[in-house]
Amino acid sequence: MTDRSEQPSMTFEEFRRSFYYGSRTDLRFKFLASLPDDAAADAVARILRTVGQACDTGDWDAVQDAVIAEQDAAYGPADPVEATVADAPFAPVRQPLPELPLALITAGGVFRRGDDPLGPDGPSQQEVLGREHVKRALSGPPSLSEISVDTPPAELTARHPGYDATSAHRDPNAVFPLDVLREVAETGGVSLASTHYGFVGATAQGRLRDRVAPEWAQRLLEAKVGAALLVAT
Amino acid sequence: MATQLRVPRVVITPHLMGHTVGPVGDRARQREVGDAALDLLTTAREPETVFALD
Repeated sequence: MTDRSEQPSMTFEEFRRSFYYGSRTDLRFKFLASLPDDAAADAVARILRTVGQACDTGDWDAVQDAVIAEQDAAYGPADPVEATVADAPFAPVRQPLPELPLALITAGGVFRRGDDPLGPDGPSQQEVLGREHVKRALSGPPSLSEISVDTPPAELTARHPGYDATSAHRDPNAVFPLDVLREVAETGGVSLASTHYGFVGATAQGRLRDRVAPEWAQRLLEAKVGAALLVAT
Repeated sequence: MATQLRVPRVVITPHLMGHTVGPVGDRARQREVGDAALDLLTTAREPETVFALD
């Protein structure tokens, strides 16, 4: 058994910061790093309280609700966005949806297995949680993965340094609802473009706004896309 | 953040980060979110239209 008295002590600040690309990296709880000690302690206590109650009641939805509430409170509306936006362009839809080929675009890092944007030996989700990978994702240009409309969900995977993409491994529809849109299309509610797209939203936002997004928009226009549904994570 | 980005239309969902469209395996909720997005696409009449889904 480990003699705990020989281990260096850890402050609560070190503990909460360790969830943010540290020794306990967990992107569901990385928000703890941004909170003051008191607020983080209260958040942990509230979540643990619901876990304890769920052990008795079986109400695990309450645990999920508690985590959502803490994430929501931590990220809040006060944080300014990195790239300011001068205007809000708006194109009213003047045709029935089935006449506008719809493209799905996710910022959740979804791509087809066998078409890894980082090459055939691309890193795993766990591997991109290292600080070097995070830095590289934020500094390098994003790439747009193409996903054919008939791609089965089992052929999809995801990798992202900003959220826990293992959820998307279990069900890509959580951030890339292609199955959902195919359901709607089957009943004629929408017409789907032949190609859909994924990229990693954790990237330099100014470059995305000024250079990359206009290029991608041109690609969509050339593909005769009539409308786009963008899913953030 | 969605409002600061001044997007034309946005559906805000109260889900965990990384589960924007709905929980893993919850196709009914995912469909509800998808339907809301498509509905907003056709019904929004002005930029920065926000629909917050419960």
